[in-house]
Amino acid sequence: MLHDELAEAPLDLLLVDDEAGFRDSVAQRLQLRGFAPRTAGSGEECLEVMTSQPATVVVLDVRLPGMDGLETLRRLKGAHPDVEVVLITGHATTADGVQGMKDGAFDYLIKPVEIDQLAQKIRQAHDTVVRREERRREAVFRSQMAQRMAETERLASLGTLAAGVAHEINNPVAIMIQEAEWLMDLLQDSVEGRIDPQELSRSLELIRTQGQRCREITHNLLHFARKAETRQQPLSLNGMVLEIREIMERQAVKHHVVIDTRLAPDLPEIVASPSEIQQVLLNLINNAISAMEDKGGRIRITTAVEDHAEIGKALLLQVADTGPGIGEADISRIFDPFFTTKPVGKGTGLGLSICYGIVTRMGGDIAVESTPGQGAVFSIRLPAPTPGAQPQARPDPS
Amino acid sequence: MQDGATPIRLLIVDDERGFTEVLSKRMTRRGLRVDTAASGAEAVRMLRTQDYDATIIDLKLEGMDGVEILKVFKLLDPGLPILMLTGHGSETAVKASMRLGAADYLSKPVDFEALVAKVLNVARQGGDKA
Ligand SMILES: Nc1ncnc2c1ncn2[C@@H]1O[C@H](COP(=O)(O)OP(=O)(O)OP(=O)(O)O)[C@@H](O)[C@H]1O
Ligand SMILES: [Mg+2]
Repeated sequence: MLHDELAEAPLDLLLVDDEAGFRDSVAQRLQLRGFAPRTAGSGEECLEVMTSQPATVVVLDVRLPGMDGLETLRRLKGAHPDVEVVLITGHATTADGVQGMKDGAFDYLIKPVEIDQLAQKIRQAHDTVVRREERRREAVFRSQMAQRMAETERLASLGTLAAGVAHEINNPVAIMIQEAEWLMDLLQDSVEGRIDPQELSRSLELIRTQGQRCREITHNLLHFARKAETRQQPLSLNGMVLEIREIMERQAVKHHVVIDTRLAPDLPEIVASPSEIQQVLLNLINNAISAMEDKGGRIRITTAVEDHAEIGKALLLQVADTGPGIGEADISRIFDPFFTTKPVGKGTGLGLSICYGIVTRMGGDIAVESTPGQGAVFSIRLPAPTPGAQPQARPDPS
Repeated sequence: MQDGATPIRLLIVDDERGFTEVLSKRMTRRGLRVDTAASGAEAVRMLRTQDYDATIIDLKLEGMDGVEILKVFKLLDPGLPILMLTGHGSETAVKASMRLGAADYLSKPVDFEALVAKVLNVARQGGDKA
């Protein structure tokens, strides 16, 4: 039994050798040991197969006609950094094996190959792939959790904060009301609306002082809100999109969802918090995948520079899916905190409200369009950096 | 309204001086005789040297909280009617106060007329003291 069957990623093996007889006999013997290898007869074919359906482990003969094994290895690792490659070298070419290791091969075996040894190497290579994938998933999960926790805490502390502010503001407000009513008392008693000027100015002074006290409180509150922002730095939106796509690829494939990108080559850098941008993309992609998880579909992520008559240049970041879309009754509520159509325990309903908060704090806006049955399109527009000004990390507001 | 002969003597205990001062002048205009105290210690000192017909105590004071003052007042003068002023979210403290013998309570920010009405309602008349 293959002990990696409990791992989520199946062991998908590709055997690359130009000698059909040798290749088929190795494939056959590996099949007897529970593997299901696919085969390719050349480096070019190997790269082609990998593009259409990537394997997790490649067994690669160093000596190939046309593109040789080492070149194939380099291109393979370039295009699919996660794949692990086991090289097969001849006695005379062990140096190739060593060079291959430097270029990122998992290991090399010398011909004639002992089949059980090869099987063991393949399993080890695959374990490495699985473990790396797990670590990555865990890291994403942890950062998602941390951010979600932070947001939930923020909402919870908002309640506490509101109570505190109400209490703080109540006292000065009570005094202002009482002083104003005191003046009304005096007016009522007065002859022809005349109030002792000293008494009048004393009350007015008190009202003013208490008003200033309220202003101080709201000022501090706004300052507090600003402090909660995360650190900003110049970053490439396209780079972030590619990074997130890589992270989400496996989950997408699992639900028969293809993610493709249409990225504007001339997109200027923006100044933003990378973790916030990551969070926005993750939430939108997660939503799209879960909307399509029954039937599968396509997510298209687009970036573009737009020129608006009123607001000038804006960066567009769009996430479109081919899922069921959003009904008219729901569409006005999806950005509300805690609005979810997912079963209890599945969704918190915070994803889009977090996106909304992040995007509007950046001075941008997020909008949705959907034709039920034909998918949903989320469009984010961010103000483009002013031309000429080099993007710079903004100092921490204090 | 008081008819002047024996004014009601009221003690207001609150650490928000601006508030006690304006209440005091407005109550005085309505014919009450008002003293103020800004802390528990000051309030106890006043109660030891003077007789009052009613008191208003803020639940939230720095140093000594309103419920503690209430307890001390009840020991010093069991028959003294006490009105508690409460903020939001002090339901438990309100219940405790009522159990400990407060005459009534009002939530802040208070309506002046409602406060005057309550004071007049609970105050013992100048003469009927033990
Ligand atoms: N791409 C989409 N297609 C269809 N419906 C969507 C899409 N994105 C969001 N929705 C709807 O909007 C609702 C709210 O989304 P939101 O991300 O705020 O919360 P959630 O996904 O339900 O839960 P979580 O907080 O765990 O992300 C979803 O429950 C879903 O009904
Ligand atoms: Mg969501």
